[in-house]
Amino acid sequence: MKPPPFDYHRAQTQDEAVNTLMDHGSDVRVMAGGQSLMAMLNMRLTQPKIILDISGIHELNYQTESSSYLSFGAGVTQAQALNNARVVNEVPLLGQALPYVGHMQTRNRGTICGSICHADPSSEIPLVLATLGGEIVVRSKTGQRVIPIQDFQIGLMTSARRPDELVVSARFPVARPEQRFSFSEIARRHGDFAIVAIAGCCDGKTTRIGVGGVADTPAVREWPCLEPDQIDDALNELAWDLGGYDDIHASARYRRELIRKLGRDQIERIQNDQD
Amino acid sequence: MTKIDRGVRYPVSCRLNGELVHGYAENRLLLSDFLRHEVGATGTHVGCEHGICGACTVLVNGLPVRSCLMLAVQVEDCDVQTIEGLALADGSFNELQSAFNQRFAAQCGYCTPGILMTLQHLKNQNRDFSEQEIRDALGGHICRCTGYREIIDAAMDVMGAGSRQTDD
Amino acid sequence: MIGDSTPQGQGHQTALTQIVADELGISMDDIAVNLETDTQKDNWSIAAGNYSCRFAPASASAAKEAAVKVRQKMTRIASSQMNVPAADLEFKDGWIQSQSNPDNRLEFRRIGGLAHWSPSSLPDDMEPAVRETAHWSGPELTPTTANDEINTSLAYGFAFDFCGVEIDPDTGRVIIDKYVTAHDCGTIINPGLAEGQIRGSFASAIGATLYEEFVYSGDGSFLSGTFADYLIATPTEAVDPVLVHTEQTPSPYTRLGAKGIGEGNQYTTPVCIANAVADALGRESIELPLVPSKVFEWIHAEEETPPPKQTVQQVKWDDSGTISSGGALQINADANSIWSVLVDPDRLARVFPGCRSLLLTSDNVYQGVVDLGVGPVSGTFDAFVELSDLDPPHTMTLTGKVIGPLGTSRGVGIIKMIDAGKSTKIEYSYQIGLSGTIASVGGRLISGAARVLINRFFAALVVEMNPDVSQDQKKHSWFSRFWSGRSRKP
Repeated sequence: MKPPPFDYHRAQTQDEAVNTLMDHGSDVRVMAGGQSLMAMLNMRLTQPKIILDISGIHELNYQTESSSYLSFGAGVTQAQALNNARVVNEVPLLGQALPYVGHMQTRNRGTICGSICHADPSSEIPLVLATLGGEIVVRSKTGQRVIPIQDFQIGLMTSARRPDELVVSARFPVARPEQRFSFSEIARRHGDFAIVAIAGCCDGKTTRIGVGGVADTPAVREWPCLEPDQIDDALNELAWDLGGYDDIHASARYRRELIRKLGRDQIERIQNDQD
Repeated sequence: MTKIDRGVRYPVSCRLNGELVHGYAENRLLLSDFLRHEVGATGTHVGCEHGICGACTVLVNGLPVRSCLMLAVQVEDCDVQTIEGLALADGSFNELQSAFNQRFAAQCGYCTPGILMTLQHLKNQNRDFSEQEIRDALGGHICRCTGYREIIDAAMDVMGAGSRQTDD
Repeated sequence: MIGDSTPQGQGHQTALTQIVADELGISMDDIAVNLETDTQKDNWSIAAGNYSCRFAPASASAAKEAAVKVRQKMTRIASSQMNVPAADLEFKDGWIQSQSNPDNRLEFRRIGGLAHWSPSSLPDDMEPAVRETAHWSGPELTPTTANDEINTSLAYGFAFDFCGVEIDPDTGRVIIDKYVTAHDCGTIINPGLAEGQIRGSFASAIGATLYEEFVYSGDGSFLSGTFADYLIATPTEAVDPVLVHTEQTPSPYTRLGAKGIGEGNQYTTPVCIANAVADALGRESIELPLVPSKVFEWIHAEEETPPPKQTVQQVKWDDSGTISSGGALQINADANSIWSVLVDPDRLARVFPGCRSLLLTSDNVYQGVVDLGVGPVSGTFDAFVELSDLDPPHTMTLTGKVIGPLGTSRGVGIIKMIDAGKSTKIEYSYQIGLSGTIASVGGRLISGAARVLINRFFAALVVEMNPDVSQDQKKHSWFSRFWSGRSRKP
């Protein structure tokens, strides 16, 4: 279980990284924390020509705040985000979700942006970003573009990043005072891939629920705040809409049942929570 | 920009347990294999090579990481601490190792170095830990021999509330 | 002391040191135990190795016997040196001394050294050196009878377990509220080592009961090939049993009265917990492991909340590990034109995802090379496709196989084309099975990946039918149709 041969580029700056991507495009796999990529390399599930290591790009290790979002550079690890008090206060949904992401040891290397790019359907960070309606910033030699998350995560482990582009940051909307958030997950063991993960937020007028672990990408639904007798129908429609699938850990039916149950607990919590 | 072609044995040096070590590594050589085969520090064990069992855990720049998910070439100029660095200057066990010994916390010893490195990281934070915090920190480690009770007891002896001595 | 018990952390060196120290009255620090066995040069026996609870009954008995032999020889030497009857001598704190006159004593190491360095001082009939070997076997372990019966166990340990469980009806999760286990393993050589064995065995049993499973598909493909799918309990899942220390009943057959202890909970714990779950659910039959999804469906036989309207085709995974699903789409072309693509190797090659080459090798049988990948996982595969049950231009069956270093996939698909005026409605259903590396490490993602590849096939088919449509339009409008498509269940 050793990686296959590859050429290794370690960039010191964003420009160097972007140049490699421009020159070599889809022959390159970008490595930030490597917690997903290295496991795949060790099993030879992926055999890229070039590994571009961006973990040494100091200028990408930033967490900055504007009035509307908290921005994580591509070098920010999950541990750094979890240890940032501003994250817990300004993006509470992310603060609630991060303890479910892997284990302490993998969070010390794994990055916020890397998890989003990897786009595993059971991952928590992409689910949070989708539920909050955040954005991804990508750079290429020709410039920069901002991609709303629903247009970035386009399929199973597939993002809209073009082969010559580097994801440089992820923007998480900052909580408004009237918003309430909730995150819960069912997994076989703590730290395992989610069977069903649900992220919710409510601002008193609209309720948004994001479901992970069921469809190929996070599935987000929004309703005007639901009356108690509307919740079950809304969740049932969502559950059947997503359908679910069988695997060795859970059946499709089980996933639907969890959507209904966890979803109901979440919606009640975020709609009724008075602070 | 550093470029290391495939198949080339590249010089790598890092501070291992406080001492500068040098070796050679292909770019795809895992840090775990570099430590074990190139440097000869075989205390770091390899269990699964996909980042789940925790046996390969070492400290890089003070933080516990999976050495099977890092490349040797990534620790150039870094501080790496392994199980070989825990003993005191005279070769005797440090406080955590002694507690493990007292509590029968090691049986086959395969998971032990990885667990001790995670616990050493906690100890370096110089505060008390609850049993739940210790369990959560060790959630990324698998042991097949002990059932974990003695391991947690040993950790609580050293870092549980009311346990800590003044610095030594 | 050297022996053949080959431990892997059970603490044999400690236990054997204790036995020797007790017999010879010397400090544990003065005893070295070397268990690095090489059958080419070392003594070995049926208990060589470490299995079937043989250490405490058998290996420890042999150790005791060997230590006794050493003591006997040294007693004879000391008796002759000190001019004291053998029966008067005791071994205590590193000395061999007269019980009636303790001042008359010699150091243990002096007597031992004498036997090696000064053999002429030894009694006339005595060989030099002190080195004794004991092989031990219980006389009760008789050979196989004429009826091929054998008692393979000399000593039987006893265990008594009881537990209480709670089951969460919303998730099917089984929570062990309390687990009590009591063991009688005869003479306990070292309580710390014995407890370590109980706890370790129990932890392993919890795994077997709640988490661990080797999953195979019907064709024998291994599906739980990483620790992400083969689940071992970590400290966050571990359950602490309450250990009850009972009076120990020594075995009458082993030299120390000791029996084994390492296996016990592996037998009792899965059964104890399964019985508790059976009691909770009023169920006759319990299948381990207690996967929450499975337990949930034992509690709630039927899904009570039906779909509000026609829904997306579910992906089902049957017992043989085959994924089946299906869908429908509409293409702006007539059925005959679409049919002609499917039976033309050059045009089919353009439509088949990642196809590098596709050759017709015999009637409706194709062979080719394809690059297949979803996200970061990709590889080059040999592909074999056969078209059958052809009813142009209405239905056909495609049977295919792709083989590559990452694994093999076999699939069957049925395509039905229904005239809808100027366009054609295509309904398809498929069954796909996977084996090899990709099946054992990629489990969670297989059904999604299959769907992605099927969708690519149809997207390419659309493009093939409508080459004038612009790239962007192709990407957005046709693609989004697939993702939201509704179909009937098979």
